Amino acid sequence: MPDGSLGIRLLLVDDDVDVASMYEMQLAAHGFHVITAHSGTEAIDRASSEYPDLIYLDLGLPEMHGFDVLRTLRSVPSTAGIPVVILTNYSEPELVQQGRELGAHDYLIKAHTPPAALAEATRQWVS
Amino acid sequence: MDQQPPEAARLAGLIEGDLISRGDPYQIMERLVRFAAENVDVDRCTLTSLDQDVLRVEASYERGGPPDFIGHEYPLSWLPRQPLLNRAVTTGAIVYGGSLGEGGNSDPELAESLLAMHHTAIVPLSLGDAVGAVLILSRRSERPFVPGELDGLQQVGLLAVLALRNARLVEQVRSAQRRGLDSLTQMSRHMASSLDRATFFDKMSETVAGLVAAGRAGFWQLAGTELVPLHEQSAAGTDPPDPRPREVLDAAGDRDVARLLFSGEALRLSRADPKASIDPDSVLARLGARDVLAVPWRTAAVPLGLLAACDSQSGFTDQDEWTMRLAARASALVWQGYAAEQRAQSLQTAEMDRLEAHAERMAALERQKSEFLQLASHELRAPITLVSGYLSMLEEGSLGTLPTPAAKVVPLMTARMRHMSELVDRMLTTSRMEIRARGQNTKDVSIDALARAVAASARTTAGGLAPPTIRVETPGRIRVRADPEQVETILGNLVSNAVKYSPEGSEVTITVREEPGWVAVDVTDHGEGIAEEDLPKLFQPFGRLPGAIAAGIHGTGLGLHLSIGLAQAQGGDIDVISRPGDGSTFTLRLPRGRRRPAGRIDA
Repeated sequence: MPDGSLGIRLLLVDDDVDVASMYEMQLAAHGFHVITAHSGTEAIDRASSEYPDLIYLDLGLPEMHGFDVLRTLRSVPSTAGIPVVILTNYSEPELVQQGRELGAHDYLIKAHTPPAALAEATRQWVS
Repeated sequence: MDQQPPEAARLAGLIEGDLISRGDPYQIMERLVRFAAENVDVDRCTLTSLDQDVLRVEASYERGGPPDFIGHEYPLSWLPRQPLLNRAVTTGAIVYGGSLGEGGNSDPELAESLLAMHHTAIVPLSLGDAVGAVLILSRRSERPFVPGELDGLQQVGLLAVLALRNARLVEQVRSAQRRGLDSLTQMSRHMASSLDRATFFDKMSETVAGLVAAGRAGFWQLAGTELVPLHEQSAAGTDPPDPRPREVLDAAGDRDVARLLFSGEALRLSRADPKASIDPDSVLARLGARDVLAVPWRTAAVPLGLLAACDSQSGFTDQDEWTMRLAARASALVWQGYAAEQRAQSLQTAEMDRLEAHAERMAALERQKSEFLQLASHELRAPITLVSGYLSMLEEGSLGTLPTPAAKVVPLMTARMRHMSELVDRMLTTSRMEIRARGQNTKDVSIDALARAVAASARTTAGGLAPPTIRVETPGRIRVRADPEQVETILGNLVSNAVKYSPEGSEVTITVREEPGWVAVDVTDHGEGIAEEDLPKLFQPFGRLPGAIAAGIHGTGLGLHLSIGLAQAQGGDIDVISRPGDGSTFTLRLPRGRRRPAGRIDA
């Protein structure tokens, strides 16, 4: 199971702890180092202290909307360069458009993204 | 001197005939004075009327010359200074004397002419109690009049008075006709013009004041038991509007006013009028008027109030009452018209308000439904994500090996969850489309014109050394029911994609055509085309093709994703046919609306 992904660190931001653990389990099984955050502020803290290689960001978060998190990350030089992929169940075209405008690298719908598919996409991303 | 009964009788017969056949009364009087002058051998004979406060020369005969002084008027105050004339008028008997010029008068022309006459006889002509006219006969010669010489003239003179009265009547009728016509003309002009209500009644009041020669006139509206002035106008160019606070009349309190309002009698008041049942002075004092004429202002069924004119120039007449009744009747019709219009408008407004409120309520309900659907679908996605995710892991074995019976049911659960996920997706799409459809501004769109506009816009924005040429093919004017802005967005996206993927110097074609039930627009490019397996990814958000990414082309996937959403929201769709190596054709289809034929018969 462990492969060339070793050493890659992912930040997974989702307030749904169960879903976050599910994805974490599968990603970890693929050899990624997964950091989780369950709120917007926590996400910014972890991102600026851990410098992950890739961030999976949900939109409907407590305290802070995912887009505000994305804006903050982009405005700070140390996190501005970290690729962010939106991973959410909100699928309105307007939100997709806004995510793109804010500099997200992709936009995935959780209900359409089984854990194995996410692991595979991540593998392709970092390779 | 002998009387000449046969001539007198003949003349009387002639005049009677004239009177009956309604000959010109002035000619009759003329004939009469000539007859008198010739039969009693005088140099001049005039017929002068006494009317209220004026002496007026109605007819005259001058020996050897044209009739003179006709129409001249002298104030009655002049009479006491004319002893002969005065005596004839007061006694009603024929008087004789010397020159009338001796009494002295203010008309030098008349005075001079009178001085030339040495003998004068004055024959008073009375009908009933009062002397209505006098025949004045004069001689230049020294031959005096002999008593008895003129007796026969008094009888003939009676005919003259009749003729005179006739003349007055004719004049009155003529002026009444003239004024009646004026009234009708002016009133109908106001009625025909589309004035607002206040202006109409202002103008009507002004017209009435002018027609009945009153200082002012106005409508008083019945409000409960009170009469309230509607608009009050001075006759043009006379007094400024009355600055005093407007009086309110108690309609029920005054019997005459009540009779006026409810049984249609006119009310005519002047100071110290003995016939009035109310004290005219008090009403007139309250109105601040010298006299007043009021007529009812009412529709066929309902009393609206009254129309009153104040301060007549020379007393109100029956003719004035007729004029005002006409004005009041006309104004009542107009009032009814305004009232009906107002009622119709308020009904219409109320109905519109009701419909709008209903539409708003329905829209709010629809909105709530769509929003609820969207929220619910989204909430449902969280458990689907978790359950489907773990099921897939169970199925793959990443959570360990399941006992065989358990492993058998996992695919079942996965299938059901996939089905549920699809349902939720459909609900989301539907509610989103509903929300978007409500924002649509659907109208008749000329899709061929829109295609040309999009092409023109794409030509100006296309970059590169040799941008592709853009050609539009259309069979004529084709219309669909759609939101023009959204159709423009869709076509703009398709064309800009086609331009981006086109090799330099190639051609992009926009073809507008009709299919049974549909209007289709093909956007064809001659780029690389799209591999079969890549086609499904085209309409996904961020679904860019590897080739596109390699070529550094941005912003295509989302455009297509949005475009298909917009097309579906209008009941349409977007298809793609690709020929790898030879380009692609994207087709927008919209449900067909009405089409205006343009020299082409539809197959």
